[in-house]
Amino acid sequence: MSIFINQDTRVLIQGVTGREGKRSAREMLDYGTHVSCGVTPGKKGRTVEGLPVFDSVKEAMEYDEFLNVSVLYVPPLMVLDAAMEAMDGGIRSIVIVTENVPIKDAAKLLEQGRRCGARIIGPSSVGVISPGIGKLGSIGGFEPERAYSKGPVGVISKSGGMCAETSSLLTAAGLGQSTVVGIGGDVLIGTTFEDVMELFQEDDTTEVVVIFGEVGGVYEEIAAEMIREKRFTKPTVAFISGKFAESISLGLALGHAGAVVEEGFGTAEEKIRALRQAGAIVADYHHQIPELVKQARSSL
Amino acid sequence: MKLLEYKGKELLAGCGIRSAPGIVTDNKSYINLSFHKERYKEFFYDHKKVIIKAQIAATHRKHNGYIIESDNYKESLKLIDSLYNKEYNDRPITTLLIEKMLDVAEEYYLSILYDTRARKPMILLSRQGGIDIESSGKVARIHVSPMEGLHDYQVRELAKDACFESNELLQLTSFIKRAYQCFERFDCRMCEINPVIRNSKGLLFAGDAKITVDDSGASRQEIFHDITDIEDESLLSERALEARKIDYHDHRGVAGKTFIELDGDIAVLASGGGASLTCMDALIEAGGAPANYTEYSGNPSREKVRQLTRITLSKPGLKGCLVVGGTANFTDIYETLSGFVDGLRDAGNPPYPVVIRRAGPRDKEAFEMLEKVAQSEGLDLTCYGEEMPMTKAASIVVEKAEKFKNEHLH
Repeated sequence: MSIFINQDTRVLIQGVTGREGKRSAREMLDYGTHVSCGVTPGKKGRTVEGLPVFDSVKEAMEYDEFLNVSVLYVPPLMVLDAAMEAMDGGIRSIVIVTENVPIKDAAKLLEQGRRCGARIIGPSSVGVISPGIGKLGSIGGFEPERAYSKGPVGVISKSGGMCAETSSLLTAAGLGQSTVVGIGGDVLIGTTFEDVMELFQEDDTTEVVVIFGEVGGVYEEIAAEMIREKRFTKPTVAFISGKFAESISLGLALGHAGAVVEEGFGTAEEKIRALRQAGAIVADYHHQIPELVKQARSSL
Repeated sequence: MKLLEYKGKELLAGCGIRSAPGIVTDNKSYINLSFHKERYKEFFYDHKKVIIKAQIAATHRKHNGYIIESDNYKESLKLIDSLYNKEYNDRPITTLLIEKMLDVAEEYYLSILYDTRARKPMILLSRQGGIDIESSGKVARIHVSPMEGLHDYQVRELAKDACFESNELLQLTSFIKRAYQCFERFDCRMCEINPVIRNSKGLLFAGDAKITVDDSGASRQEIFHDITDIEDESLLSERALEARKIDYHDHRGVAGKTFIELDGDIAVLASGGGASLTCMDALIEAGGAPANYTEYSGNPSREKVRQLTRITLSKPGLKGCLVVGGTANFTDIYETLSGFVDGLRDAGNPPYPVVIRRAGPRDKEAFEMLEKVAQSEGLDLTCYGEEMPMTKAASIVVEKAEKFKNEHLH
């Protein structure tokens, strides 16, 4: 049983008529994910990749009462509205692929998510893939097999690109993945390393977890706390990027909105130390990850 | 986007927060032009004592001589000149804020920002304001519900917690509510007022304003549309400012949003936030010196990559270029690398080695195209796909740049 995606997963795409929404619909369908329909206000009656398009989530729910995941491809300033609509419509799993969502809007929709018990992944999430089972969002593109293969390694990454890079190194070394989650690199995100690790802890198909973290924020430190307090007990291999950020001017966002080092806080070094002290294995170079995963598995 | 103090104070004023009376001088000759000189003279004699502050986003400005006080008119003119002759980050000081010197009874600390752990806005308050707030005195804090907003009673509790007295609560509550209103209304990432000044008459003023606006929220704030006017440019090079304009009016993908000028000679065009940081680390680890940091991702248009390439390669003295990214999920490699080739031509097809490591949709087509271009235009281009770990590609460009340097010495 994989996390986030299973045989009951039925997907709605909000923003399905846009370029990225359309592409993602095709990709998800091709990978065998059950995508049911799409929503774009004002475009009811169209079809995209054979999927009916509705004006509202309410109408979509009337069409398919078993919808349980919404993947968002709406423009940044419309994400708050779309996420609120999905939650109001009764959907409790939301993947926000859109980047550049204002922090204020993210804070609001995440609060609403906590109130109604919705799981929100992102904003700026590349998506979630359980190789061989299905995928949500843009992860894997048209050829998920290129990087992703089925196996025992759970991967959690702030970076979408590095989901693929990390998994493709693992795949090349014969190490498949149970589920790969792009949690996004924004300042505020709905699902953190900790949240995914909680699910991996209970997931029988996951033996080892790989974390790709980076400078900024505290989510890596929280993951370290979790390992230290033995709330997460599976072997963990981590890589933290952005060491060079310590040598340059502070307060600039590097690549991701959340990747900001401010006044010595959120540095890569600090995160590496916290993870090592907690008992995680931290790779110095990214390409060492498969070797370290093998070592971690052999000690199981 | 970090705002300069005087712009921050303008935002605060719009929300009803007072600052000392002041004037802004925005070029070197300002004070010597007779009209402005008259105006300043009047200002000075109205207030008798002034505080002159260089408009830069530095910490410890006072300690480093960027803030000067004066109660002598003639002397103050000299001080203004001397500030204009100073530099910050190798850039001249262009703007000063000259304010009436307040009679300070007390200084407090107030900061509003997002707590990534709670995923909510957080307000910090301390009775002891000024520098090094983190190490002095008690800092009280509360979280705010982003949906419900801030209630007065929460602020009163915060103030109590920060050891304010009963008779101070109402005035302080109103001040903090206004600051929060500013934070909320203008999509701020941080709004810090340090110090909040209480004068001898008991009135509260913003003594400074450190406001960072969320770049993603700025697009819906009309007040920020003319960004170059209000932004702290002292941290950004000309190329950085140019690069950041690439994304305006075209929100598909990101190109050049962050551009950092560095001392080295290897130009870097990285794709993906995570990959870019990983490769910068690897480049430095391999003994290379990056000339810049920048990044494009999210399937930007060919034109956006072209602009970013042109700007990145405009630096003189480059010895190599690394174009690096992981296996893209949905970025069209053919389109983005075509943009790179366009930019390369704009830069006059430089002779130094270019190493490309990229994979993803249409990468085969892209590599064929690159090979042809390299042959017909005589470029030193090396392409790798996913078989080459990106961190190893970083060390290859370092070797090639070394070789290029040696050949050009002889």
